Amino acid sequence: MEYYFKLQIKRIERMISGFGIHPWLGCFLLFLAFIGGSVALFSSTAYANWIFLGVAILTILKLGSSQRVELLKILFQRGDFYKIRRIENSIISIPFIGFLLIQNSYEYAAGVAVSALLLATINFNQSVGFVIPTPFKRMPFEFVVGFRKAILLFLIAGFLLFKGIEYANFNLGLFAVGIMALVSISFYFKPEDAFFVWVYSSNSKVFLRKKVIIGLIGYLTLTVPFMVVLGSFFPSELVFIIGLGLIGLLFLIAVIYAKYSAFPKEINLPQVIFLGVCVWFPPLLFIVIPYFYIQSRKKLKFLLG
Amino acid sequence: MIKAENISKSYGSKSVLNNLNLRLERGKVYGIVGENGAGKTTLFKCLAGLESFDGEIQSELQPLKNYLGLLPTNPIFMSKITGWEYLKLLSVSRNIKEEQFEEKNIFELDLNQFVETYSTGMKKKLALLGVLLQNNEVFVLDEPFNGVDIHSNIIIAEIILKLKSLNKVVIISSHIFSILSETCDEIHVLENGTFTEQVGKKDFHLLDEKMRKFAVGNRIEKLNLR
Repeated sequence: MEYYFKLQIKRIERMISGFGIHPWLGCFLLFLAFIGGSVALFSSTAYANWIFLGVAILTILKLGSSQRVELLKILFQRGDFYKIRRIENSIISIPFIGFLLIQNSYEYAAGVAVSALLLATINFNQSVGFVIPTPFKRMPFEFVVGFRKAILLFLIAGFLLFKGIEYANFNLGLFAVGIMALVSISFYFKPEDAFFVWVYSSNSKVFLRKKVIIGLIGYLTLTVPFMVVLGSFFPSELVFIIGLGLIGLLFLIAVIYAKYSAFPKEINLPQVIFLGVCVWFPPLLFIVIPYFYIQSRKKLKFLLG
Repeated sequence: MIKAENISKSYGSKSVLNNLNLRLERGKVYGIVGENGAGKTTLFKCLAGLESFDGEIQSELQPLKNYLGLLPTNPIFMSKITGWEYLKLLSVSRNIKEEQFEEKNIFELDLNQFVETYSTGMKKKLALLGVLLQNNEVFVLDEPFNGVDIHSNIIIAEIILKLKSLNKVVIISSHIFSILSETCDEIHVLENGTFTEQVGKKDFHLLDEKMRKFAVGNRIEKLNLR
């Protein structure tokens, strides 16, 4: 069991190194991002506790995927198997519990702790689950796969939008739109296998154009209904909502190009820094997007010409 | 039609392919045999343009990769994608507006299920179906019979013969000699990244005999089975 955990630490270190940064620096940046995101969440909405609890449970659920559980069952005896599941769930829930305790949200912290222990005993067989219909069936594959994986987050965003309208809380509604946009953009963070790029008969220019068109259709399909609903209840904020939607759209294009500028590797430190600077000052996107585009063309030249 | 000259490939200091030469004609089926690690998959990836290499590949089809269908030994699939969606992806990637996959689903796969629920053989059949739907001119099939049931193996062998009659180029690797001798016009033996033999149909039985002798040798005796 000890060797298993040592191996997990090694895997995490290698994963972070894959982004081109030292594992310890990566952990520190992740910690900062977690604290920053949590503080931003708690300062923007009264429902932060519930959202935080939801995110914690979703994170814990990730550890209970059928593949992982199956492998652990093969490797370990029943007693050790449940011990590992409890330890892993507890480790992953520590930051959430810690932050909730700092916020004096004791009952939510207890909720995370109980969920972590309970979910260690439940195994989810995702592979035999029923096929969630998707409006993106004809435009594989990023939104087809992403939509199915993130369906729960979309439902949560819908619930938050509804609550935002019910309590005339514009910020909460905007947060819901933000979830839709960010999750859509996140579909492009992980590179596909080189086979799925090679298989295209288009050159790199046409390939990238196709990817961006599919991305835009998917992004707009998911975000526009939310923006329309929010805008119809807060008409004075309509320009702001559209503006935010457009910035999200530019980020989507930037992330698509960023992905292929690092291809076949994952988006690494330089791309993350460029994108981070754009979050701070969005007009820089007009420089960063063409830069990523040129890099993408270079990277894809070998596979697509 | 396709002429590969002096193909070499190394991973660091490890040389995988050494100055390979290969000439592939339309309407012919070529078999590549060799032990595990001989370089078959690397050769296929080089032919497909998925790996960089030293040497040259000439073809009347330009760019060759746009007319080439590759069936990898272990086909790659994304999670949360159905059989139908996989076939759609392979079709749109070649600008084919096909959607009536059920009609062409000769292996009777459940296309509405996630591919991750398929067995090894079903995945192989789906990947092969995808390559066939692309209307390619050249087919590179890396162990197409592996993990597939006997009935489907018969169908795949018939598909290969049909592709030959349609004047396509087919290049396959397999460890099942009987299927290779049934479908191939020529077999090339790959050993440590080098072609050591090129055998025509009339001499397949000699190659089979030679390979058996070489493969078995006195290895079974070494086991000292009781």
